[in-house]
Amino acid sequence: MRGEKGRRVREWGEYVAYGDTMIKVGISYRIFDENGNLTSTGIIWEAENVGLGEPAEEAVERARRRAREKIKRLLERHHGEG
Amino acid sequence: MSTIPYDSPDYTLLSDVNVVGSIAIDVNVVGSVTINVNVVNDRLNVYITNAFLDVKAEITNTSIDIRVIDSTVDLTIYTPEGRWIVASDLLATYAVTPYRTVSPGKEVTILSATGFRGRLRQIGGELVTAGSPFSIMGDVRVRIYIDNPYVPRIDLSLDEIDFLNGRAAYWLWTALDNALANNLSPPFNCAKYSTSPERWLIEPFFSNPTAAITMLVYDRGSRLLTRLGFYLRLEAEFMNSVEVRIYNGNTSNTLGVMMTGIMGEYVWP
Repeated sequence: MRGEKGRRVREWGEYVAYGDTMIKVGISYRIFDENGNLTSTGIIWEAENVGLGEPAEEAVERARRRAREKIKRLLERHHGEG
Repeated sequence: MSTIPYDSPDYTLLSDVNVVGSIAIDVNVVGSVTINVNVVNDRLNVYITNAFLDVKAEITNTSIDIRVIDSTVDLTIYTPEGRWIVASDLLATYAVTPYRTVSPGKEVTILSATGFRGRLRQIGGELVTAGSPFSIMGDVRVRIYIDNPYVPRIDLSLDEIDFLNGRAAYWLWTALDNALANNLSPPFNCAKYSTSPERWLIEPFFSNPTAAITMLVYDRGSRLLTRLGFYLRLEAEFMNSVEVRIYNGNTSNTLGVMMTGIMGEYVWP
């Protein structure tokens, strides 16, 4: 939130697009600088196949984990630190 | 310097105060400050003109509750350094859904968003009969669930979406059907694209930015539609979640859905 100090990535939330054999999960984020100013925004999408008979939520969870891993690395890419 | 005693009676300020020079008012309070201005059946006017307003506030645990009712708020903030301190608009995001089938009598989620404050700005898509043709216009409903996964806020059939554009699609389809039945020339924006089965592409006029049926595929053998395109600009605000679901009210045929949604996220929750 504005005013909070320290570089960090903050998630806004999650999108899920459902298909028969594939789902897609998008996690949107904001990046703040050390003064708490918003410096960047974006969204990361990850697609995952849904196996025959597999509950879609299991594929959603796999895609969600991958997207979150990428978001964890965003701060390093933007600010040179983790 | 004047001092107001604790138990002073009510004072009424009757005269204007005009000062040449400057005024410094230092107020140091150990405790809390409460300012109540209760103007009954009249208006509170505050004008600041010909002045530099310099307000510095360091506030923690802030809670500001401003309710403006039956009024117009016109707020302009200039930031000379260009810093993005006010995000009055939304951050645009999107979602494109893979092909999804909807079984007869079922409602499925096509797209969902969960997070903080946001806006579902627009959806558009294509619906196709996955088996035999059926009445897509009447049997299929677009349902939007806002901050509540149990009761849809928007629940529209495709025919009702066509109403938002003056029902242009339905009547062009009817005109085509009538022309073909009477061996007349097909109406404008209608073209046969398949002979066996005989199918016609119908493209109604749509200039309404809010909603429209954009195209229909008419299967003349069954006299039903096999394909339909639409868009719907909702600008629907949500606090933490929105879901777009499709309900297939036909009890014997499967529907295929593809859709794109444009969202907006408020910068500050």
